[in-house]
Amino acid sequence: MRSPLPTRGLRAAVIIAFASGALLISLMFAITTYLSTRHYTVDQRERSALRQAYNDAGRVKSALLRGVDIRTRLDALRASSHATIYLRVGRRWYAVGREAGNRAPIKHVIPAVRAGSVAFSWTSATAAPSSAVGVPLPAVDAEYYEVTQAKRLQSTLRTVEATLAVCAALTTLAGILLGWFASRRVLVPLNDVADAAARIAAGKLDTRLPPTRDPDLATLVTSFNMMVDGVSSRIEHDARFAANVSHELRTPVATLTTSLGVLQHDPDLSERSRTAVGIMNTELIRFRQALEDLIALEHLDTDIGDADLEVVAVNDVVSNVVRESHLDAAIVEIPEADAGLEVRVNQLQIRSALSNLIRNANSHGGGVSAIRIVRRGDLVEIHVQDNGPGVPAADRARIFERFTRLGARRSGPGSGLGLSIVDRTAAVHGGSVECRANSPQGADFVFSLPLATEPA
Amino acid sequence: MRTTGSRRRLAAALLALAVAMTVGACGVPRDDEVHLISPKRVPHHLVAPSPPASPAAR
Repeated sequence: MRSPLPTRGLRAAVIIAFASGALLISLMFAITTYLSTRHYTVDQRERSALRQAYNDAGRVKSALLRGVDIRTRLDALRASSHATIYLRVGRRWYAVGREAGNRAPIKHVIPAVRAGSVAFSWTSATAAPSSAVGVPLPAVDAEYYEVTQAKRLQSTLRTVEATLAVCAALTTLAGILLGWFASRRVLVPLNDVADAAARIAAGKLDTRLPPTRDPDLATLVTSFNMMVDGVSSRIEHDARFAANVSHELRTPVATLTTSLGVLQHDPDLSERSRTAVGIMNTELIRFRQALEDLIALEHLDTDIGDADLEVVAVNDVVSNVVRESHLDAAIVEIPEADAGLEVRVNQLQIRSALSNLIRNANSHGGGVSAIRIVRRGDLVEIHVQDNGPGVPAADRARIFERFTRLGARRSGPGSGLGLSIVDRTAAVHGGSVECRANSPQGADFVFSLPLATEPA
Repeated sequence: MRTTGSRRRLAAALLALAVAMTVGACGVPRDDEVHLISPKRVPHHLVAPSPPASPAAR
């Protein structure tokens, strides 16, 4: 079952890993430190309480043996130790201190002391945490109890808790920051590879990753560059082969076309033979168009040089193409603000691409309904629109692939290379072409080119 | 076979348990548990059954 949570990116995964590691390590250190500190300080407090109780019990025992007034002795002890003291002598109980009226703090240790043992406990019977120590004094038939508050110990432990919690939080934060920096550094080579792959996909087959001394990345860089070498050499080989075949076929096809033309007009040809020759002629024209398109693509694949580029007005190029295509000039729509837009292009290639779009609309979209020129930021968009059946959304990217012919278009005219030529022309000029749905129906082919200069 | 998800859940549960146990053990103990002190650690004169004989009595 797929998780309903969105998939984490590599960067998020690295940051989470660093943060989790830092949190885990800081928690482990904090817990270990706190528990050992607590154990040590509590143990020291117990020893201190016992030492004090032994001293005070010794003084009480001496006082009882010497017959000194026990109440006076207990008050003196209370003044020096700030503890609550309970003393049982025979059947009589004495108590001085804060909890004097309440014997609950020592109720758990009384049975052990009665049995003759010195006993210690941390009591829950007082508001503040306190320790209770009971010491039997069998020589004077007495039991001595001392309850001491451990406020300082509590304060110390709270300080340690707060300090460790803050340290753990800071360590986790440091882990997140470290993860963020590490992921940035780790992702730089990956981004370089992605950028290079995108440039290669856009047709820049001479793109390579720069060599690196990093031994961890050297293999990736070498493999990537070798792969691109292999792919570009294969593409070049295929293109050269197609171009050679096209050039080699051009002459015999021209001869065949001419011969068929002559044959078609032969008065001695039977009606049946004339029909067959007509079909052959149509297919041969299509074949010839495919060859011409392949040669045009080959020219586009070898990048255009700066010498072929010229700055031209977009509306002039479009008007020329409209005129050549025998369309009504009124179908061209240009907002007044966008009238002077200029592009730096190979005019012949752009005119050929626009002619292909118009031919495509005539063949498959029932004719061009409008050609609109619109500025979009640093780009100029030339919309070639029709009111035909349109192109299904799933096929709008595929129709620009070579030899792609959809549905009813398969049997229609054209080589299946026209839109590929348009796509390639746009790409080599730094632009793009896409197919959108026209409103209310039909297709809207948007041919975008970068503007040459800012219009005044 | 354990999956990554189940391992993560187990680790999170163990961590939560450790944190809970630590939080439970925080602060000064108040458990009323009685610790008997070994007689070896108690000064002998305190728990001796009778007062030591005075030098004059010898």
